[in-house]
Amino acid sequence: MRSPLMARVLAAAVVLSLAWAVQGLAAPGEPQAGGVIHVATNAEPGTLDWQSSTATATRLVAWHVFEGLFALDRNYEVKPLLAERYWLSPDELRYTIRLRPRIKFQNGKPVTPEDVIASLERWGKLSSGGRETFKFIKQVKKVDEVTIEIDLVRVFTPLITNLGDPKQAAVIMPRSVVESSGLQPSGELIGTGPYIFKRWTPGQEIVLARNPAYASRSEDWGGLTGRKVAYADEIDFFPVTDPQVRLAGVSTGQYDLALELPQDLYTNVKANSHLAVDIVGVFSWTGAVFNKARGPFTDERLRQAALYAMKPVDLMTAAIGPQEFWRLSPGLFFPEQGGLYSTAGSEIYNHQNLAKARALMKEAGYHGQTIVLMSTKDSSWNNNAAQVLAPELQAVGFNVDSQVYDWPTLLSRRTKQDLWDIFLTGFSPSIDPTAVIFFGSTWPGWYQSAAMDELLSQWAKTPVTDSGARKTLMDKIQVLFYKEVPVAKIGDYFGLEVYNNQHLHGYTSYFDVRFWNTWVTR
Amino acid sequence: MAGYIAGRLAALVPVLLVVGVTVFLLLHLIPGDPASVILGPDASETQIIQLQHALGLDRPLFVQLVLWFDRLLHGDLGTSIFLRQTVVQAIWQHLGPTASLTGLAEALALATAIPSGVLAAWKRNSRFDQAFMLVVLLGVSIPSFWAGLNLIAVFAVAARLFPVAGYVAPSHGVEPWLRSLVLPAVALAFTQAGLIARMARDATIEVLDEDYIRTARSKGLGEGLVLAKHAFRNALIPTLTVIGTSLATLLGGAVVVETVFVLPGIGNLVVQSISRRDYPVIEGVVLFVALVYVLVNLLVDLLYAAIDPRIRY
Repeated sequence: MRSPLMARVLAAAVVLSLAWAVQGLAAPGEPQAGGVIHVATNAEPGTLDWQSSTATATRLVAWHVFEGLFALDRNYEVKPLLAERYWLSPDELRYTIRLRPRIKFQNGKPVTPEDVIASLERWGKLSSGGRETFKFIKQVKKVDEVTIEIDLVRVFTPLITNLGDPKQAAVIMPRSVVESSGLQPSGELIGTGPYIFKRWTPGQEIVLARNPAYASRSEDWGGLTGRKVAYADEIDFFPVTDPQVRLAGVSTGQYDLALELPQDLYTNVKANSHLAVDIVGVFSWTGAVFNKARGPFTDERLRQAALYAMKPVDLMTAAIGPQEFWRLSPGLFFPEQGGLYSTAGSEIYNHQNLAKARALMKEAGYHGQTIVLMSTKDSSWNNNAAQVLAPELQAVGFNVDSQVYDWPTLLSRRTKQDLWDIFLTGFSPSIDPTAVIFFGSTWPGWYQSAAMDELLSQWAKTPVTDSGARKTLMDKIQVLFYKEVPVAKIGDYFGLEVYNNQHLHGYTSYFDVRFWNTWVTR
Repeated sequence: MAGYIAGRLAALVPVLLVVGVTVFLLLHLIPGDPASVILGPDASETQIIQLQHALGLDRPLFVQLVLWFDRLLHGDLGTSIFLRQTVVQAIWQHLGPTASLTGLAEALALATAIPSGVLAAWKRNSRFDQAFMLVVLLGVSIPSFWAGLNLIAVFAVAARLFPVAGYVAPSHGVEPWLRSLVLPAVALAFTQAGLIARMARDATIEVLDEDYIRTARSKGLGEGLVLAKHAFRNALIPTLTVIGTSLATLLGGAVVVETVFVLPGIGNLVVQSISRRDYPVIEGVVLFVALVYVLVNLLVDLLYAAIDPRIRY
């Protein structure tokens, strides 16, 4: 006969065994809380103040911490985030925005209309999109403890879209932080997001910790809004500049995800069954920006000539490599962006015509002035594209002086009108024509066009709901883009993110990585 | 001796001043500015001008130089534009990984290079010597970043013995700290070992041809004793010179190795700071490295006297 003690031990063993078995039988793919997500990034941000910087390195960390009134969903359409809903007055000059109840900052204090107003006003001073938007805003005022009103000086339909733009986003932070930071990048990183900023050890790691008090929306909207669950205890971002090391790290499981690998590593990645590939379709498009303030390219015929001299297929092959990672598309926007995508201008884009280019150069009176073409070696695609673009331009008679710089030097030189004629850059997705960066007259390239201003003005008056009118206008904008050629589009290129599918689960592709609704198992 | 040391230390002041002013001017002559980097590629000219003003970068260069120099005279190296900490704090924070890395690399280099160099000299023209020369040639020829990537491929990815990258502070345990340092230290030590071993071999060969070695052997001393007591000590002086200069070279090599292995050391700090044009940090780190270089050289000179009684200061 067994002793009671022995019986208890046996019973405990059976229970433990069952628990073990049940755990083993847990449905695969079942989300589980806990653990740390290790992310190998390609660059360390200059700041984590999302209102201050347009840099991708800032955004992909900051959007775990900060949130705005509105944000993009998985289809790149703007949906409420901190806002519960909004109303538009019949004359379309007043937006009334109601905040979701019981939202708190990560310091435990409630989000008030005063915080929202201070944040929006700072955004209106700091960001290009904010400044553009505030040209149309008469005032932002508090209505009650959960409501604000935005009064416009004239109809401006992209208002809500711009409030949800992830570039230098209109995120909401405590008024005290806004006041102490002023227009300088803020060091106090307090938002409302699912993760809290924990520490930043320069050159080593940025650590975010789960926000236990996060109040999530319930909708399955995806993207940057809707239901967000912070499963992982922590997200650790490691700046790993060498792509081979990022790949090696994700292969061994040291990192769960490696960002922005060079596309020519794709074959190595595919060979490893532990690795999942995320080809990011809405990523960036490459373009040659012309100096329209000074020099030969003030004449639009020469810009058209350069466009006709280019052969995008050669440029993209040289710049990016494997065909899985690029696409020839005339659009200012990506096909995935629905109503914004247009194929207008496709009769000009990707139609190399050397005779026409030479004729346009002759007509414009080009007589061999030096064309300074700037590119950067910090980005391999950029330098590779320049190696092909220079001879293509030379083939039609442009006298090209190709200059290669590091990225900070290129950033600095491109702000000086007398130092360059063309530079190559990538454009991350915009979400509205009024937010296209090179349509602005102060951005390098200095595009000024009464015709484009008029079209953008019409766009800003067209209701978001009038898809027919917006389609017509979008086509007109793109036709004008190909006539005036402020930038010669080369092609869309896709990003390569790689993650360890043994460890990281629930991850979904988007234009930059996010780790809510994502969990780790080890 | 004290007078000699005081004189050498006093000579530090003009050296650091010249280095400081030269670096300041060179840095501000190269294009690029931190405001553009902070704000990102889509920032408008207005934004950049706003931030340049806030950071004081729109002041005339001469004014910036005077302000920097004034702070320097007060022992203030300034504040990092990006890191939100003083330059001294930034250097201190990044010193640990670099000291660990260079210390371990130098120890590995010395532990392998000196015995093998002396042995190769003793077995001059043998198969061992030929193999030694080949390895040494590889050591001085292979760039440390390439050695590093290959070490990662073999020992981290294939064998899974070490982490691919990253640094673990010794406060988290000696074993993980060492594991995070082994591959970078080997990559860095490879070149160093090549240089030191070659010098140790040449110096030992030279000493082994001296009359006093012949005398020692004729007295019936064993080869081991001849090598250890008579040859090695005399061969150490030129080797010490290489070790001294190689310590400074190690700091340069650490820049590359720290970047490949993502070690948050001084090398990584300076690379990041250059790419962001974080002027105060670059100036501070260059001054710091110059100081280390001069002090290491002084230490080597003092060691000469300790090893060779004929040298007196």
